[in-house]
Amino acid sequence: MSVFARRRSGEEDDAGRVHVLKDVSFSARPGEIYGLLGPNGAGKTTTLRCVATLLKGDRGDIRVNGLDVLDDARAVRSLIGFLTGDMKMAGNLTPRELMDFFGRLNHLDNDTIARRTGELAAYLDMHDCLDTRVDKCSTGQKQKTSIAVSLIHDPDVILFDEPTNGLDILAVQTVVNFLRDYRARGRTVVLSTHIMSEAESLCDRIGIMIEGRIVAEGTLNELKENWHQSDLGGVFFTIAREKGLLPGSGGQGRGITDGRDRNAGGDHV
Amino acid sequence: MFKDALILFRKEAGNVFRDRRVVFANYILPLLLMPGIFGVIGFIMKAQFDSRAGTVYRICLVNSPGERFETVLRAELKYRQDLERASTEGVTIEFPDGYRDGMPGRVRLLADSTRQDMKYAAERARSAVDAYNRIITAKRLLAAGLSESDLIALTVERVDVAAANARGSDFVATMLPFFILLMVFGGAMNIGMAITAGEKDKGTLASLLVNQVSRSSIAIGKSLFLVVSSLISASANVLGIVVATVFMSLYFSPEAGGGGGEPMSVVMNSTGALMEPANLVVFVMSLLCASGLAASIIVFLGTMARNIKEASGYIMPVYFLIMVAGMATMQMDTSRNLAFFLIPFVNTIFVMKGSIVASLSLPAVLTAFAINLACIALFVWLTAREFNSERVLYTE
Repeated sequence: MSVFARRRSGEEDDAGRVHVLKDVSFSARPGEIYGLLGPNGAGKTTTLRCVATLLKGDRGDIRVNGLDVLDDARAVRSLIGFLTGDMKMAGNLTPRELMDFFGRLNHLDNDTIARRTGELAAYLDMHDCLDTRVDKCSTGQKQKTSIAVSLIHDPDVILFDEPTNGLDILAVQTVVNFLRDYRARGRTVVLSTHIMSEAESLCDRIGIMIEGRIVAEGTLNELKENWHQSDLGGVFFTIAREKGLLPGSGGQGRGITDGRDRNAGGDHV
Repeated sequence: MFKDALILFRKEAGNVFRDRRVVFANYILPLLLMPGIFGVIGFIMKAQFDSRAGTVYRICLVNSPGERFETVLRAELKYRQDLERASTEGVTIEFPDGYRDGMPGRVRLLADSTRQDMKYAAERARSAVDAYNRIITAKRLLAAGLSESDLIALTVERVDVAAANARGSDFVATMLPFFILLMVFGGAMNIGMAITAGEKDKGTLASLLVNQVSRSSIAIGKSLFLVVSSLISASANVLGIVVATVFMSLYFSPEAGGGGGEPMSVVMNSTGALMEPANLVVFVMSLLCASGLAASIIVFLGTMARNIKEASGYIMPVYFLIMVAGMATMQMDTSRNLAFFLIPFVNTIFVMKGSIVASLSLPAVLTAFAINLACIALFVWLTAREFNSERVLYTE
């Protein structure tokens, strides 16, 4: 199972539209977590939305398991599970009802839905909130619900857009454990994040994305070797400085700072 | 596709019907509000009527003809004669100088037109003068050996040739289609915006779009739910009006503003005859078409909008347009001109009117249904196209 994305476009078209993605090419393989690392506005969410068939590119092509996301959008959607931080669930329904609803939308039969609901509830430890209305669930329970809903059809490829954003430490651990486990099952995971430690500890390969382009790609060790740095943060900020994105580097700055010492987590871009 | 649409329908129903506030505001409140509003209006009108009828008015009688007129006046209102001429605190009834009982002459009524109680007293005084006039006329005719009927050469008998089940339904035919249309559209607006633009605001739309369900199914499912929702809301409104009208007709006298019962004559007119089954079917079908059209338009506009505020900006003008179309056609008879049946919503009003007054032609009905169904299909298709476009995810 693999995801292959290659999108190219100019800076601005004749209609004055600014293109968010300019040169993005990557492939993610089965049993691998591929991380898209970049600051806000780099195009990570847009890239994942394109792979998830929500947005359509004007150039290039994206294939999931060999299926084109434009020509075979519905078939692609049957293969992917998509989760983004700003994706919410209908508040008046319970997690069980939502899993049932999304299971039916994915054309699963009643037995399969019941089995998958049981599996996911056990796996994500959701039994205490399974029949509680979502708007009465905690943030962590809501995130678990979102994960469960996106996995109800047991997808081959998982696209997670900043899945730990805004979560407390326990909920983060649930997500991290889940991603590792899914990788171990031979599934393909594409993850976007702006948290260095998350990318370092989780991702098998990392694509560093800046201003709509993947400017560097490789395993953590490859990146550190190529950029002569001891950690991923060093790699990222070296690249950012080269691209003129940091204050004092001749560029506009764009609000990106080498915040490794200033952020609470010490590793946010 | 339809199976997927039903899954969407069930989800929307579960999400909306479980929200007690939404259910109360959209489906229960109209049921309570209409009897409440009509009840308050009825109570106020009855209280005013009772108050005016029980008030002892101050009257200034100038050149009074005597006991016979005053007896007639006492039958009309309670009064006492302690008023100065032309005072704003009462009514002056002024007979000509030197007037005697039975003489012809010009009577002047002086009252303050800005006061409701004085207007009422002046009306009663006018009735008393008219009654007194009839007594004098009858007496003078009698003296000449004649009766009132001798003066009438021709009498007119009006015969209503309308179908028995249509008689007395003209008021309902004028008002009800307009109100129903407003209720159907108005009842669908809030929930329509919530299940379209509201999903963008809440961020629940993306999760729907990354599933295998076709975008047309999403459009159909949402429109279908909105049809049901608007029908429930409109039914609650109509039922509220019926309850209010029955309540008023039971508890208030016609003079006090009660005695309604008009909405009941949608199915049973003033003669007690039932609406013909065929017309009733046409009425219900046109109601369904109107709900479908309203729902499909609202779902389309709500889907096109980036947020609820923008959706409201798109939908409100359509609502006003329907209101204007309804008012413009309110006094128009059901037209024989097929061109009117080509205009969505206007054709619904005409079909409903026609089914109430039992005056419909098959080509007109078929034209209206065909046009409305075509419009519903068009808006569902446009909505599906909107869902297929990445624009549907734009929230800014």
